[in-house]
Parts: sequence; C-alpha cells; structure tokens
Amino acid sequence: MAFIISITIFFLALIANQSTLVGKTTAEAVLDFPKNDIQDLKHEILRIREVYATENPNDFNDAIQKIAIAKKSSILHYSIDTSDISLKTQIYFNNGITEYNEIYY
Amino acid sequence: MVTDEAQLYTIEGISAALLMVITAYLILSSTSILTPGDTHISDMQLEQLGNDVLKMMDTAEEFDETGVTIYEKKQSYLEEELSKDLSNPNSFTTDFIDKFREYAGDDDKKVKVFLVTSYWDGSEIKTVGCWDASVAPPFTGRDHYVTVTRWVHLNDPAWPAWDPGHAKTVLLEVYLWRD
Amino acid sequence: MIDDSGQMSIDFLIGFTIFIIGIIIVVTLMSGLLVGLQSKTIDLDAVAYRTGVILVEDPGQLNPENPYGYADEWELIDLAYKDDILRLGMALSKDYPNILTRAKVEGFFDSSFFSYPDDYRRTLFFTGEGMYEYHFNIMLTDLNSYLSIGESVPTNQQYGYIKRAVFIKEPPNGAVFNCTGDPKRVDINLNFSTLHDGDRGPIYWIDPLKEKIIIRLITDAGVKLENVYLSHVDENGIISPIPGQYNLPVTTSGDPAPPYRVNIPDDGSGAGYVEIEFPQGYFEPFSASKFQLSFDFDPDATGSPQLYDYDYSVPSLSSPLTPATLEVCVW
Repeated sequence: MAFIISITIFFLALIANQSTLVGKTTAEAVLDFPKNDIQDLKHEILRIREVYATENPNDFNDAIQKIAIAKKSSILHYSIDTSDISLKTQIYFNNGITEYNEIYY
Repeated sequence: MVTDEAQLYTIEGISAALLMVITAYLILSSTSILTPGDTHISDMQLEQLGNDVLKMMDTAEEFDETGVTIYEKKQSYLEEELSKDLSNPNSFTTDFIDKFREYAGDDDKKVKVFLVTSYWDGSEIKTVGCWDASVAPPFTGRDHYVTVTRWVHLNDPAWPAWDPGHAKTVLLEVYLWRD
Repeated sequence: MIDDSGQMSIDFLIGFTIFIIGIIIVVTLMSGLLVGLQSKTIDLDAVAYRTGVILVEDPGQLNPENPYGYADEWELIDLAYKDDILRLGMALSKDYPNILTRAKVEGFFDSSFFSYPDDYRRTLFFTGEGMYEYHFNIMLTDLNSYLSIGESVPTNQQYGYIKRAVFIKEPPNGAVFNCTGDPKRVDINLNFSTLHDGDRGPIYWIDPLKEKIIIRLITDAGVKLENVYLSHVDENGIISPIPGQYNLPVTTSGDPAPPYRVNIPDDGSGAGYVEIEFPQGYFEPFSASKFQLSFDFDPDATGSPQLYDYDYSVPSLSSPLTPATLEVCVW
C-alpha cells in the first residue's frame, strides 16, 4: 500500500517537474514574433505609396509575393486604393505563426 | 521454521534497496541540466542588431532638396548603391562592410556579413551579382549564422543590362555571424 | 523444510522484471526533478530586450489628465509634474521606430530631473517598493559623446544585455541671416505650416514646437540693439505683439542682453552677431502657428528694414540624423 502511494507521489512530482520545463524561453518567443518583418514591410509599402501615389502602385504586388514565398516563407500582399484621395492602403502578412492585417489612411 | 514466505520479505527488501539506490541516483544526476533554448539568446541579440543596422542603412540621413523626384529626395544609402551599375561589386562590398560596422558600433569587428540580393524578373527569382566574395570575410556556412532581410525599392536601377530603368522591389538578405 | 534448489518461482521473476522496467522508465523521466524546483532566476535578457524596445521604439506616455494636455511629450513638462510620466521612451513617434529625438535623449539622461534609481524603476522597469530592485546601466554612444545612467556593469555576475542601433534627430542648426547694411529693424517670419512640410515627413522636418530653435544674425560692427520681441501673425497678415514677449534674452558678440540697449562690437571678423535661442516647447503655450520675431536696432540707423523667412530656403539650415548605439545592461 505504501509502495503504491510512493509511486503515485513520484508520478505527480514528474508532472509538476515537466510543467516547469515546458514552454518557451523568452529568446525563442522574441525570435518567433516577426516584429522586424512587419515593420520592414510597412516601411516598404509606405515608400511605394509615397513615390508612386496614383501611378500604378500595385504593380509590385507580384514581385513581393513571389519573393516572400520563396525566400521568407510568408504570404504578403498589399493594395493601395488609387481612387481614394487619402490613398487607403491595406497590408496583409502571414508567416504561418503570426497573421497581420492593417488598413492605413 | 523455514517456509517459502520469505519471498515476501525478499521482494520488500529488494524494492527498498532499489528505492534507496534510485533516490541517490536522482540526487546526483540532477546537478546539471541542459536548459532548452539557452543558445537562442545570442542569436536574438545579433538578429535585432542586424535588423536595426539595415533599417538605418535604408533611411536617408538628410533630406536632399536637390533631388528631382520625391524618391530622390529621401533616397537612402541602400537604394542608391543598389541602383548603380553593379558590374564591379568590389567597392560596394567593402563600403557596405564598413558602413555596417560604423552603424553597429566600432567594437563589433567580430561581426561578419555576407549579402545576397534577389529580385523577380517576371518569370523567376534571380540574384544580383553585387557581392565580391574576395574582399569580404569568407562565408563557409559552418559558423552559426542568423539571417536578416530588408526590402529595398529601386526606382531606376541601372541593371539588368537588357532592361534597365524598370522599377523593382528587391529583397536583401544579410547573413551575420560572430567569429 | 530446507530446500537447496535455490531457484525462484517464475511468477516472482516476471513480476520483478515488470516492476524494474517501470522503475527505470520513471527514473529516466525524472532526472530534472529537483533542479526544476530550485530555479529562481529572472530571465534578465528578456528584461533588457523589453527595456531596449521601450526606449527605442516607444515615444513614452503621459497621464492623460496631465495639465499640459500632452500625449507623449514628456520632455517638455515641468519638474513639478514628473509623476505624470507613465512610461519613458525616446522615440520620435510610434510610427518611426529607431529614430530618437535629441530633446528626449537629453531629458532622459538628465540626472537633475530624474532621480536615480526610483524614477527609472517606476517608468521603465515597472517595479516599485517591495518588488525586485533591478540594477541597470543604460549607455548611449554617438560619434563624439557618451551618455550613461546607472551603476557600473559588474564583472563577476551574469547580466542581461541588448544593443540597439538608432538615429538621433538633432535640432536644426545653422540658421544664419546676413543683416549687414545697418538696418533699422530685422523681421524674421516663422510659419509652422511651411516648416511642417508634408514631403519631408516628421523625420526630416523642423518642429519648432518640440525642438530648440537657434537664430543668428550677422550685423555690422558697432550697431546698437534696442529691443527683441515676438509677435503673432494672424491669417489676415495682421501683426500683433504678444504681451510679455519683449526684451527677449539674446547673446551677442559683446554683452548679453537684457538689459537693453546693448552694443554689438566686432567679434574679430569685421562683423558682430546676435543670437537668440528658443528652448523646446517655447511656442507651445501661444497656440498659434505664425510668428514674427523682430529685432529693433538704433532708430538712427541708415538702412531700411529687412524681412526674412525662417524656412528651408535658408541655405545653411539643416537638421540631420546622427547615428548612435544604445546599450542596456540589467542585473
């Protein structure tokens, strides 16, 4: 009886122990979140918007999508509404772990 | 009187001995544990620094009033260098490495870089020959490296030779490692 | 009965074997049991990284009920309202990470404004009394200066560390107006909507509300300066002096003023100079956007009044970005 109880306590201690090692260290969590990718993408889209304004700014969508899938394993796409005076811009980013959606006026 | 009940005592004796041995083993073996993920910290620091430096290189240090278009007025170092004719990448390579070290702080001469630039030409992804490996630190791929990337927009590039002036967005990939 | 066969029954062996295999599996899974329960370390690299992000990518935040009505311009508030600062950050704005402003940098490292370590612990590390007291060292290094806050980094202890590379937006310099010709008066127009040029964007424009403005006039040697005052220009072009904004302090190649009138001697190059400095936040209380700064010289001067615009057409005016690195150590 005591033997069974001691084995049971060992098993519970095992569960308690594994719970502290499970989960990520902060460095992994920081590396996983694509903060720099999203900031970089937004900077690029705003640059395109500033330089081209109403002259076909959406032409670069194709190149950005293809390169992003091949090199960065992420899906990107943007659209700039040229009929709108404030050039409403929509940005989408998805790298499998994080999904980001933004509408910028 | 000797009977075969002694088997019960024997089992208890053996399991008691085992428990004591196992406890002793547990205590002694729990002194050193390899915590998962410790190796990522230096990666994170290097990656953040690399991203910061690329962002600085992609920002113009001053507003250039003499530029004709809005693109030229805020043209950054990367945009300007990658728009040039890259047939002799030697000067770009040494210049890039120097500027990287300048922005990252002088004592980081241990940080080595290697650059690949990719663009889309309508049917496939091609790389631009902008890096002269003979003047750069050798990249073997055996050192542990991190990759940082930056999108650069070129309004009027002087390459490729059969289609210059076609505006494009290129992806710059920089491999960073510490010696 | 003593039996010398010495063999154990098969049932016993099978039971024992199963038991031993079970014990071995449990033991190999348990090798980290005691270590896990003893670990109490804080992930100091995480704290350093978070602090680095707050300093470099966040403009800071003030209590929404602060008497000035500012959202993030904590560098402009008075010492008495220091407790209204909720979070310190040096970035220009949240849309422009990695660009710091010189005013915020100077405010952050000003040990006469923030008391080390309590103010920093409250607004940057978010610990207070009774919580863990972080020791830290924050250093900003640029081309020719080195600013730091905190204790010196320990050599025998593990510490969390991060290094960020940033640009610092410097206040505009080089606004020099050539006012030779012995004018009676020099007027300089300051139009904030021209300065907030949409093409340049917030990184490259001059923001007189938040940045230090220095204006220098080159004058003939020997002229006399009577008064310097500031006027407000409304949308119809009517100029009205602002009450209390006269006899403004200036430095000259001779004595500083007030008291007026002051003589402007030759500073060695054949001409004299007058320089006025408006610290950051000076124009904020007037809630107007067009001003005129007037320099009254001796009424017997022979030249006619001169008018200049303080805008991007002044050839020597520049507001550059200087590169710097910020290092945070926490232990």
